Amino acid sequence: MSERPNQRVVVTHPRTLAPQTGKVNRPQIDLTEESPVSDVALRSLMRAQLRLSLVHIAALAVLLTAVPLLAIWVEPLSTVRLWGVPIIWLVLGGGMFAPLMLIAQSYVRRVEALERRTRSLLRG
Amino acid sequence: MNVAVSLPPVLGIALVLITTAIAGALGMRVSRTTSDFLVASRSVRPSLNALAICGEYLSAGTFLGLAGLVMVFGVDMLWYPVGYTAGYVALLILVAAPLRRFGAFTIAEFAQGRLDAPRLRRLSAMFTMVIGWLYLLPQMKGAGITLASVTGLPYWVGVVVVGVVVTANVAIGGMRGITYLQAFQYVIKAFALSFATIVLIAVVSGRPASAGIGAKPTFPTDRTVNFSRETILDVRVPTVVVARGVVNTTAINGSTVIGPGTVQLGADTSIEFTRGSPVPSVKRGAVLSGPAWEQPFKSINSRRPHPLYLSLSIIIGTVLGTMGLPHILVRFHTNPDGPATRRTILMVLGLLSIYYVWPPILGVLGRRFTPDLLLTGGTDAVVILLPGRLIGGLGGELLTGLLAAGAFAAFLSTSSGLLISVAGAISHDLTSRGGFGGGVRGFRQGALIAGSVAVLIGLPSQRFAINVLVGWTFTIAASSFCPLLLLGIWWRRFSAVGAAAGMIVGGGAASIAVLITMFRPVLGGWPGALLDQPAAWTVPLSFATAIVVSLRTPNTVPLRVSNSLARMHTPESATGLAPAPAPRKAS
Repeated sequence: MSERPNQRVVVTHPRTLAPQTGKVNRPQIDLTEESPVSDVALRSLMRAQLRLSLVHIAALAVLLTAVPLLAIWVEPLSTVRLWGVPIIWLVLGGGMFAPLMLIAQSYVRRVEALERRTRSLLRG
Repeated sequence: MNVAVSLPPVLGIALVLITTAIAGALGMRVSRTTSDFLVASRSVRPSLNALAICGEYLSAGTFLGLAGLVMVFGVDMLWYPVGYTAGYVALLILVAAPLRRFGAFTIAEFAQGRLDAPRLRRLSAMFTMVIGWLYLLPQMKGAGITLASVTGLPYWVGVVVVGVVVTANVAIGGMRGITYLQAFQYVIKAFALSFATIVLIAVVSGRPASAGIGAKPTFPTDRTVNFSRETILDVRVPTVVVARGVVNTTAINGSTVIGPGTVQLGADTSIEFTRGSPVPSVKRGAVLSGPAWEQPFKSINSRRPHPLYLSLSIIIGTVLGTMGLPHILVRFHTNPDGPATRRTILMVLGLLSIYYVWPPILGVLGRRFTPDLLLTGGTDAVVILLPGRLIGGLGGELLTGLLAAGAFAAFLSTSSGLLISVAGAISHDLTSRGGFGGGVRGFRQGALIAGSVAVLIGLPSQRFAINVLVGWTFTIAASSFCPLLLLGIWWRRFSAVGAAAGMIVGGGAASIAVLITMFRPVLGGWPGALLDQPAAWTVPLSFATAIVVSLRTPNTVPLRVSNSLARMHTPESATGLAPAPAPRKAS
């Protein structure tokens, strides 16, 4: 490591100060311990997270499959030109990025809200 | 080929190489521990990390290869940038924060820690090396042809130069040393690409109006095309040319008419086409007709008979492959925690979006203004050659210099990231004792080995198209690591044997398909399509194998699965402690 040889290193546990302050940042439910309560809590948390993720993945999948299908079924996308290029070029070459970003932002917003709720639940 | 060596491109490349070397030397001063080398001690800010990730993610494939692909195959190739970006979204939604919370340094370490299986670590390390080296091939090729296009130096010089610089940098400073460098290199290449494209568009729009982008390519000026290899042309219209060499087994030195029909050219034949002549097709190459190039999913000949399948397979391969690229995944571990990782990815998405719009435009310009590349198969060089053709004189040289610098920035940054992951696999994960004694010294030895092999396999690789190589990499990554990560993060009943089975079967199938496509002639019809873009079946195969085998080997589900899952899914500061490091022996 990069410390100098005689430097003092302070060794404490994060909860050393806990008794002194009286207010403890300790979770009432600790998911990492092995107990029926944490087990149930963990499963429920994972289910909620998975649901959130799958919903957004589904949105992504719909976006990625809808565009090829539209390209086949909606003739004007391939024939009508804007600035000399068929519209489908503009959609694929630039237009897809905004929906992708929206899906990403929606996910981050919602997962952070979920995590906030989870934190307060675990603290009790 | 004799190219007049012009100064600005050489200066541009030299500048990028020198700044890289200097930054690498500085990196030696800040990188001390294995943690520094592998994950920059988890201390990188999201904005810096986002720039660095883009620096390393956007490789020769997008800087050079994508324009070439669009130039040859048209609109169907636009699925690549969409897929690359969507892959990051999928990564964000399914993998990023939990993987960061698990805390492993490398994917192999994740595999071992999550599934309690040291042999899985070695297996993962091997796939990491295969993927890493395979992805290094297009970077080496890009360096070789860029340097050759710009200076006339032989192909191998570029390969060796990039190999040496990157290996030295990585060995000296590791991840921490290169993060700033990769961020800087992203800025260079983004600026180069956007500025050059805008300038070229401005130059082109001053010219007489064209018949839409889908018109059949014709030579914009008199152009001599040198065919170094035997080539068979398909000439639709009788064309007057000046030929020097062997045409249809007759030696010719002067004006002649070729076509209609197939024309066989001997090796080292040069053909001078006059302005306005239509560009012929190359047998076993593809100059698509206007509508097929311009419209999506239109099949034109037996070489690409299933365009819808191919496009869907491209999407699957790129999206899921992004989730399996070791050098990208390890980047997440350089963030301090889960939420920071997510924020980083959001920024990456924005940066990717503004980058990916330019190469397709260059591809369209290339089709109109450098169509001779379609004949020689040198479409990977279109980005570098366009400024010289469209803008003469000093302006063209400066722009070429800028693009050459940007291209080199692309190769250097991606190669750095790849080399780190391969070196990490060699030194950190390949043997249960942690490789060559582990630690910094082992990492450096790993870097030297990884770099040498990369150069060796890069030398004979000029004949593979850059994006084909990249596509293969993504396919193997999607078929091996993607199931490991997804099932490892979300599925309680994932077993060690199941993980191994999935990786071997899926990753193996993908690797075999790639090898066959590399070394055997192109097959037509369905077999050809399935082997050419196997992701659509190798990935489901991998998942299915992993799931079925896991269900049948429940005794190899790790005992501590609940603990692992809790660590990955519990939000930060809900445990009262900082994110835990991975449960492994300190090296």
